[in-house]
Amino acid sequence: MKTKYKYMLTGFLFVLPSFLYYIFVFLYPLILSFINATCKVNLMMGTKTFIGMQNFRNLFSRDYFWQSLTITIQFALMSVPLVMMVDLFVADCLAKVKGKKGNILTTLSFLPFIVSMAAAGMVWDWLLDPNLGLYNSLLNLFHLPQPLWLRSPATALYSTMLITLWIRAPFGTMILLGGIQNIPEQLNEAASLDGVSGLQRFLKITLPLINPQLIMVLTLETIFAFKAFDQIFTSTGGGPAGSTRTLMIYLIKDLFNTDYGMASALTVLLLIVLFIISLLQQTLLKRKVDY
Amino acid sequence: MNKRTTIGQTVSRLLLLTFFIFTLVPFIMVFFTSFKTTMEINNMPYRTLWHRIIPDDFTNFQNIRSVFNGSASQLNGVPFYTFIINSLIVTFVSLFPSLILAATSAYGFAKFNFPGKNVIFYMFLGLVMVPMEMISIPLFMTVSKLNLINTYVGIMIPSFISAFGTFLLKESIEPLSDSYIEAGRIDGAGEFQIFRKLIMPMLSGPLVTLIVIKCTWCWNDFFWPLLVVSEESMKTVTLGLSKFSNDLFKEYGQLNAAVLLSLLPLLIVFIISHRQIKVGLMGAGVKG
Repeated sequence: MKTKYKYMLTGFLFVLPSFLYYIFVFLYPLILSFINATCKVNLMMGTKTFIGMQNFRNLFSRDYFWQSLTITIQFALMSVPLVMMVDLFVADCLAKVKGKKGNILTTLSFLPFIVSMAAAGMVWDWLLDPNLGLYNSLLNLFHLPQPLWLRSPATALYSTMLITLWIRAPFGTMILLGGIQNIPEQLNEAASLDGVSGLQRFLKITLPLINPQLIMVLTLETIFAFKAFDQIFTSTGGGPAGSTRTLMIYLIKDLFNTDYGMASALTVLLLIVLFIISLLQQTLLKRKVDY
Repeated sequence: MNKRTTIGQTVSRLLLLTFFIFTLVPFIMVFFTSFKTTMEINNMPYRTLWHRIIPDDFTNFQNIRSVFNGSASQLNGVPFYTFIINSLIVTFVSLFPSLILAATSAYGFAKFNFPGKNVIFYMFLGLVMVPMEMISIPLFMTVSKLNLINTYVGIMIPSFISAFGTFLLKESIEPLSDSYIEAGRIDGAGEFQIFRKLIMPMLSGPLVTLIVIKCTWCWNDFFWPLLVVSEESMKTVTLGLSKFSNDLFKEYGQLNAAVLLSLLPLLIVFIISHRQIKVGLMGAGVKG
């Protein structure tokens, strides 16, 4: 009996240092941001005055907030399916290529993973430059219309989705590829002997069996889309004419360093929304897989 | 039936090829553009497409040199290697505490039972799901109260812990047989000794995976350094890079040279260890 308690204590002591640091770097700030959201915060003076929901009311009265909320939702609704469809397609293709060739292709498709999103934004800003960039030079060669990409309010948000696709595709592809390669080969072989077509096999075998990975990627990409910042900050900085001002850009450019209370209110709001979305995705869409 | 499959296959081959061109072209263009003069980039005199892609002179190191030694106008005399050194320090110094914290907590979660273990574990799960950006404002206020703005410690504070590492290592420790631990105890080894001498050596594979992924994330972090660093000499690589993105008339040659320089260290790491990153991410999905 005594040893049992000893092992309990040992286990707890192994977790304790991480847990203490976790409290300092995560839990305490998390609670603080909920408190700050209801306060008028003055960082210089170190004072806080409770003002209830005033920060939220102020936030909701700003046009920029609603505008950037719309932009963020638009960004998430379009970029998440785009990234996931490409992930799924590439992972399914890569799973079919066997041996050394498959290995090389997987490694190559994975290369953008090491690039920072900040660098990605800058590189694509160059590639999509309306006059000097590679893509418009190519379009020019074929006498096709040349969009202004990141420089026009009409196309800028779509262009940032393209950057996001480039930088995010490797992550999801790898996770889905891991799931697909985990499917027992006999399942596909048996189905193919029964004359089930490739597309049918994909829909009826692959998709249901990688459900856990799909939901994981979906949740992570949704969170990622809602906090989109780096690649947009370095490519458009939120412009032109505010057309790519996502919530995080709004937070940093307009609220941070001017009103910490309102900034906290915005992050608290985002936290709650993301929590609900993740919870819904995990409970409604997730299936237990057994094969 | 047969014909349809071939059409389908051709289409999917073409789409896959498009994807690979889309993925790899930026790398090629960064490399090429780093060697181009401003005249070349501005297409003066008018050039054919081929000459707009390939630089005239691969020995033109003007861009790379001016970025590296800080004579590029956007850098205001701060050489780019300052940022690289800062990032190297931040990445390497934060690596060790985060590995130790991840490994000890993973061992505690995987092989012991104590009241509240599951609660603490689910709290850690929150650390993976909740983006760091959402709590960065109060964390920034704490850091500024501690006078750690513009210091290495301030930049490293969120990177000392790795919840992803805890999960990755927990998954690797769980399948290890308890009999190793029992044997260690019978031989009279202390609990920490068992962890260090018996468990740690068996984790070399996942530890390498964790090191590589952690280095990549730490090196590429932009949001947190942006908040806590304002002094030029303390900026990390990503912040140094972003100086080239602010101008209306961009010096694309220098911009690409800076991207190339920021990419090289990770590219070397990637070439050595791409297998480990793949294994880690594929496994993370299957287990999670």
